[in-house]
Amino acid sequence: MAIDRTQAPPAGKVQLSSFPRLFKETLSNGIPVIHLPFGREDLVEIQMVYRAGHSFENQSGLTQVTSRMMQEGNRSYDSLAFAEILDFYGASVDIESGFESTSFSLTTLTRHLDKTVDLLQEMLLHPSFPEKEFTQYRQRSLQQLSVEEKKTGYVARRNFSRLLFGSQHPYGRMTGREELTAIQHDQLRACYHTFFRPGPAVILCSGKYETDTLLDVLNGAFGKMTYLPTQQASLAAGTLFPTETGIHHFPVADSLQSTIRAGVPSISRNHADYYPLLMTSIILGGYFGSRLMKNIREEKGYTYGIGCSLNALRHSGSFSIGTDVGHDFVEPCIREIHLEIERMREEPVSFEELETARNYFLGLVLSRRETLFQLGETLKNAWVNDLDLADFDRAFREMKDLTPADIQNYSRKYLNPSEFVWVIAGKNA
Amino acid sequence: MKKIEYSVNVLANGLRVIVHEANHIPRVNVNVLYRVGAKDEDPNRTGFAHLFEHLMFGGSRNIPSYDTPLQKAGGENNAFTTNDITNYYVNLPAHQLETAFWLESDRMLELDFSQKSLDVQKSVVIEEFKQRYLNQPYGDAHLLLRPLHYQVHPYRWPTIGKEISHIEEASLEEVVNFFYGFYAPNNATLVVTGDVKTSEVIRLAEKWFGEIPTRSLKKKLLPQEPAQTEARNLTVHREVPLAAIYKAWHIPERIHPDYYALDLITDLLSGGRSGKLFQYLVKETEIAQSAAAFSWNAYDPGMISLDGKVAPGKSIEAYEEGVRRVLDNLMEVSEKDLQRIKNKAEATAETEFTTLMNIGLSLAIYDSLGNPEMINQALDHYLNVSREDIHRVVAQYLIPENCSTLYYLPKDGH
Repeated sequence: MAIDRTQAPPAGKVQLSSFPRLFKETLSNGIPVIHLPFGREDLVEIQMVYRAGHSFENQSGLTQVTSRMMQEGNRSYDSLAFAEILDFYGASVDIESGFESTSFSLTTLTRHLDKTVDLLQEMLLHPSFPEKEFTQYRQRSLQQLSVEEKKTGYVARRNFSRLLFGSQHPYGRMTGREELTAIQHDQLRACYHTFFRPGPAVILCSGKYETDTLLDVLNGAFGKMTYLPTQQASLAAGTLFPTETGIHHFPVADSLQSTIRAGVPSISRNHADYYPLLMTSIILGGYFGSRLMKNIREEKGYTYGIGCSLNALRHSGSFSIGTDVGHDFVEPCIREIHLEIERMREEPVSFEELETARNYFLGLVLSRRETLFQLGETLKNAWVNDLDLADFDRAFREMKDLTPADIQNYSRKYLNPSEFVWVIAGKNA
Repeated sequence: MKKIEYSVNVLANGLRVIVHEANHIPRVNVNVLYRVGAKDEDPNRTGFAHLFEHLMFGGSRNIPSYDTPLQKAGGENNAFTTNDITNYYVNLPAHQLETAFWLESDRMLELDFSQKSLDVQKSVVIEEFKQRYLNQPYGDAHLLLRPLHYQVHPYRWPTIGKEISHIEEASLEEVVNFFYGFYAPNNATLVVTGDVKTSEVIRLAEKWFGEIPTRSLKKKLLPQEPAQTEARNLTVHREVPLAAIYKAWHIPERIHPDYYALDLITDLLSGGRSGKLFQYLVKETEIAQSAAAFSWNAYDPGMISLDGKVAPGKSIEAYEEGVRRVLDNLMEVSEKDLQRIKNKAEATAETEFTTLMNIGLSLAIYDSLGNPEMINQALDHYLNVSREDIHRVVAQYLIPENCSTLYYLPKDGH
C-alpha cells in the first residue's frame, strides 16, 4: 500500500469547544462568587482576588511584600506550623501580586475543602505579621537580588519598563533594591487594612465540588465578616506617551550575551484593537513559525529564541520584542528586527501565513480549556481586566475575518520604529 | 487517584503504540519517545543528541517544514532531550490526529539531512549553551558537578554537552549515522492520549508507521559507575555575590525499590515551605540564603543533589555542619512528617494527571523504563514507604563517602 507522504491528510473544520458554564452567587455579606464546576479530578481551586497591587500603591513593592507575609503566621499558627498543616492536607496557596490585582489561590483535594478554606480564612482575616519573618524575608530577597542584578535579563527588564513608561508610572517601576530596602515592618499592617481586611473583590472557584457544599464552606469562612470592598482607583488609568526612544546601553560585567528588549507603549486589554493587534504580534514574533523566529533563529542562528508580545494590561500596555544573543550578534540582530518591523508595515502578509498563525493561536486558546487551573486563570484575567464574562469566544469572532490588509494597517498604526525604545543589557556600547 | 486505562500494541517493525482514551476536551496529545539520550553519545561529541533534536525540526524526506503544517492544523509542539531519552510531543485538535501521524512518521522514516540546517542549529545550540549555562551566575555549576560525581558513566556530561567545541565540530556524516543508529521504530514508543478511538489510532499507526523498516541499533553497553568510597571536593572561584555549595550523592536507578524512599526524602528536605532545609538552614539559623534538594530519576544510577547559597557573613563550615544536622535528623523523622509528604505526593499525582500531555509523557517514560503500568503503581509505592525505609536509605546513601561537593565561591574570598 503506497501512501502519498507529500500531501497533508485532509483537515476537518476547527470545532469550537465551548467554555464551561459560569455560575454567579453571593455570600451572605455580599461577597460575589463566580464558579465553574469542571474536571475529572477531585480538586478545587479557590482564588481570592483583591483590587490591590502595584497600580494602587504609592510605595513600590509594599502590597507584594504584605501579601507574601500573610502566609508567615496568623492567630492560630506560626509560619512553620501553617506551612506544615497546608502540606498535611496536600494543599497549597499561591500568592500573586501584579499591577491590577493581588490573589491568593488555594488548591485543595475536594475532600479537604472545608478544612483548607478555614486555613485560608486564618491567613486572610487574622494574619499576625511577625517582625522576624519580615526582616528575614526582606534580607533573603535582597540577597537574591544581588544574584539577579548580575543577569542581563534582569538589567534589561528593569530598565526597559522604566524607559518605556517612565519611573513615575506604576507600569514603569519595578521593585528593586532601593524600593525593597525602603519597606518597613510597621507599614505592612496599614497596607493590609487598606487593601485586604475589607474583603476580596471577588471569589473565583473552579473544579469538582457540590455547589451547596462550596457555598456553605465559603459562607462559613468569609460570609460573616463586615464586607467593605476597597474602592481605590488604579494609578495606571490615563493615557500613556512614549517617554524615551532610541537605543540605551547597560553594560553587564563578565556577560557573554546581551539581552535585547525593544518596544513601544501600547493598548489596554479591553481596547477595540486588541485582537487584531494580538494577531499582528503573533505573526511577527508570537510563535515558533513567526517571522522573527524564522529569520533570526532558523535562518541566521543568532539566538536560541526570540519573540514579541503584546502585554495588554487593564489601563494600557506594551508591545515588546525580546531576545538574548552573543555580543557579536547584537548589531546584526537589531538590524534584522528593524527589517522585520518594516516588512510588516510595508507589505501585506500572505493569506497562508495569516491562516497558519490564526489556526495556531485559536488551537492554543482551546487547549487552554483543559484543566481547572487554566480555566481559573482565564476567568481571573477576564475579571481583572473588566472583560465580558459571558463572552470567552471573542477571539474566534474577532480574528475570523481579519485580512492581510488589516494586519498591515495595524502594523502601521501601532508599530512605528521611530517610537521604539531599545535596551541592550550586556556588552559595552 | 483514578486508574489510568490504556492499551499497548506493538507493530511488526517494533514500534510500541500506547493509547489512552479521554474525551473531556476535543484535543489529542501525540508523544513520540526515542530511547536515545546524551548517555549514548561519543565522549568526544557530547551534546550531540540534543543538537540532533533541533535538527528533527529542519524538514523530513517528504515534508520541507515540520512546524508550518502543524500550526496550520491548530497544533503546537516541542521536544526535549535528557541523558536517557529524546521526547517529541504534539498537541492538536482531536480531528487533526492524522496530521501528527503524517509529520511524525515522515521524520522517523528519514530526515532531510542538510548542511545549512546543521550549521544554523549548531549556532542556535551554542547560543542556548551560553544563555542557559554560561551567561547566568552559577550557570555552570552542574557542568562542574557532573564529572565530579560520575567518573566513568556517560552521565558525567550534561545534555547540552561538555564544551562548545564538541558542538562546533559535529559533521553531517555523524548526523546521518546517529539517525540510522538510534531513530527507528524499534527504538521508540508512540503514545496517543485524548479524544480518540483506540482502533482508529492503531489503524493510523499501521498506515503511517507500519512501512518504516526496523533498523539495527547502535546501542553500546555503557560503563557502570563504580561505588564511590571517599568524599570528593572541588573548589572554583567566580564573579558571584554569594558562596554556593552543591552536593551530590549516588542513588540507584529509577526502577530500584529504594528510589521511592529517596524521592520522598527530597520532599521532606525541600518540598514547599515546610521543607527541613529551608526551615533549619534559612529560617532557624539563617546560615543559608537558599537550600533545596532534588532527586534525579535517571534510568541508570542517579543522584540526589543539594544546592544552597551561604548567607553573607556565614561560614562554609557552618553551612556544612547545618546540612549534616538536617540529614542526621532524618533518622528521627516522625510519622506525622512522613504522612504529610505522602499526602502531598497524592495531591501532586492528582494534579499532574489533569493534562493529556502529562499522561502521554508519563506513559511513554514508564514504557521506556520497562512497564507502562508504573503510571498506576507509582503512588502506591510512595504510600508504602515506612519510617524504617527512610532510616535505612539515609544511612545507606546519604553518607559523606558517597558524596561529591562543589564549592562555588566569590572571587574576592568569603
